[in-house]
Amino acid sequence: MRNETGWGNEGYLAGVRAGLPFALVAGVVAISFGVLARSLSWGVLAPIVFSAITFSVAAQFAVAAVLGAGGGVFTAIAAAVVLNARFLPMGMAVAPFLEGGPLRRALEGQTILTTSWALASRGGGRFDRAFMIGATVPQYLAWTIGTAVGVLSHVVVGDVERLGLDVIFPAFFLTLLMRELRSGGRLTIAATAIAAALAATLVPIAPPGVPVLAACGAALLGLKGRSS
Amino acid sequence: VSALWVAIVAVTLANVAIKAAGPVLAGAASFPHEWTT
Repeated sequence: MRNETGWGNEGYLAGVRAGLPFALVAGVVAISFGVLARSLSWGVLAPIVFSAITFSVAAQFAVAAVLGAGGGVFTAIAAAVVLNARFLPMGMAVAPFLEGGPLRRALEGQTILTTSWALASRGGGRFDRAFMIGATVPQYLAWTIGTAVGVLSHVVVGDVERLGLDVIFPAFFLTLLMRELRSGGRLTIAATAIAAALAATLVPIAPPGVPVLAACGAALLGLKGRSS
Repeated sequence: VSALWVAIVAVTLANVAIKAAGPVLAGAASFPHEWTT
């Protein structure tokens, strides 16, 4: 079915390349999840297994938030399920582009991530299946490995702030900029450069969250330029 | 079994089911003609 749309096997590798910047961010968020899990006395094995078999940022943080606040296990499960309910319509949207019988389609459906799904969208309701699967692979590896690093960080580096993780968001936008320099329009390149500069400038002086919001706002200008 | 492990297993099973439901239930719907020509 993929061939009918004219998308070849190179879509997997293209997806992997497109997923790398997001894997960078996923890895950092995973480290923070691992550190959080450790602070909640979850031990070493549970958070790593959680990331490896669930691979859901929102759901895992929801479980940590509810259980960490003393909430019940059913509340934690319900919160995670509600957050992940978005994958149902996303899966239905991408369904016509997946391959094989029910079992294979169910397995391919496990590669649906919000980022990969959006990256694989080709407009008009079409999706590049191989691109989506490829984009998910580096993010899964980064999420699982990052969680392990976070859980074990107190053993390896002590204070995790010594890792300099605050530079990751400027680095993320710089990575996007490198891609746009090859393929993007002038407005997109300018907006991405501004986003990277904003993130790098604001990180040392602004409260947590502000640099990312400002950089994302600048990047949205580039998205507007691309769509017009 | 601790509450944490119950949550991990339950959330994992729910996540797998949700992600599988769309592709399986929606099935292999056919492409519009203009996408395949």
